Amino acid sequence: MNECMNIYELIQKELDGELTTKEMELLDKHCSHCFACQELRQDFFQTIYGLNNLPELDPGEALIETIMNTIYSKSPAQKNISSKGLTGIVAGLVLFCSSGIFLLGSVIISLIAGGLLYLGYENFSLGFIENIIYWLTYGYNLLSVFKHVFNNPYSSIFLVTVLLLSMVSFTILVMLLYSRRIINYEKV
Amino acid sequence: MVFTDEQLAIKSQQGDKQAFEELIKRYQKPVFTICYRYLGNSQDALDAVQETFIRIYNKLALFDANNTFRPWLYKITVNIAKDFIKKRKPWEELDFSLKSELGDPQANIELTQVQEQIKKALLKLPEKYRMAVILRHIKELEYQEIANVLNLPLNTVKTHVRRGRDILRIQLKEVEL
Repeated sequence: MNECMNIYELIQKELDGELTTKEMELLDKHCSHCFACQELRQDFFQTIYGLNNLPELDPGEALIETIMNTIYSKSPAQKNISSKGLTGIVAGLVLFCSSGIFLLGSVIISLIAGGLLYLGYENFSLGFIENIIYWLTYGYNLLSVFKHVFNNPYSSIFLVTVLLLSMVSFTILVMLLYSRRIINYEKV
Repeated sequence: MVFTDEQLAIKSQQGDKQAFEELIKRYQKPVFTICYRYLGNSQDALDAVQETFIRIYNKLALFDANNTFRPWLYKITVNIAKDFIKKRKPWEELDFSLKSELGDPQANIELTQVQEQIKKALLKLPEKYRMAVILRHIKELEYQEIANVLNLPLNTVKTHVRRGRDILRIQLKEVEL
């Protein structure tokens, strides 16, 4: 019986084509006198033969067309960035640029405003650069600044112009967003 | 000129529609056979094949030209077929086993009595053994290739195949008696 257990292992190995010549001889010899193992071997071979000979199945011609239509009605393969991802990147870039422009703009405006305020103040005891620094540092004291600014007609005109330009830029940005030239939300 | 699977996959990556169609033509039968033998009914198998090729297409950018295409395709096929089984409700499982007993009208292929019994017995195998046996004895893949496809150690795959075919043998013997 113990020998038959070993033979079972040998049959399994035989099915996988892993038998050595010596093992094959042993298997053949055992099966020539043991009817049970001979039958077991035969059953295994019948099962494997049946599996090997199960026909390959055809899903039909219509399948290719269905798959191709499904795939190629969508975006092509090389576009591996989805439309949502692309919109996210565009939105991120717009935000990044906007914040950059805002920062740069505020610095430039500060410089110009500081320079002009220098003239407006008529505070010649301080130098040009010192005046800009003074304005940037103490600019929060708007009341005192405005008091001096509005004393000078040129500074007032400058400030009103900056205010108007800011409002116009903001309006243009909002209009662009609404006209969807920047981000098309329908395609998200 | 006949292109290899890998060449066709690269051409498909570059947007060649005909190359991808050629890949489907080459592999639709093997993929359908695996799905049908594993899932047991043609409607699910057809859906699985469709999903397999769509997923292949969507993942083409990830295909490395140094790798072979076939194991990659079979890996995706196996994962999708397993997903179909997972999604099945218990009552659907019963329904499919009944259908397989009665024979699927859409799989209009004449089988010998033994083959018909094998087909039914295969569907009664535990899933992990079933897929291993299908890949080994129906698709005739090497053990190492099956291990790669199923993402299992080589010895585990051997055990699954051996246990699977042993159960099949016993089931077929019972039918004979």
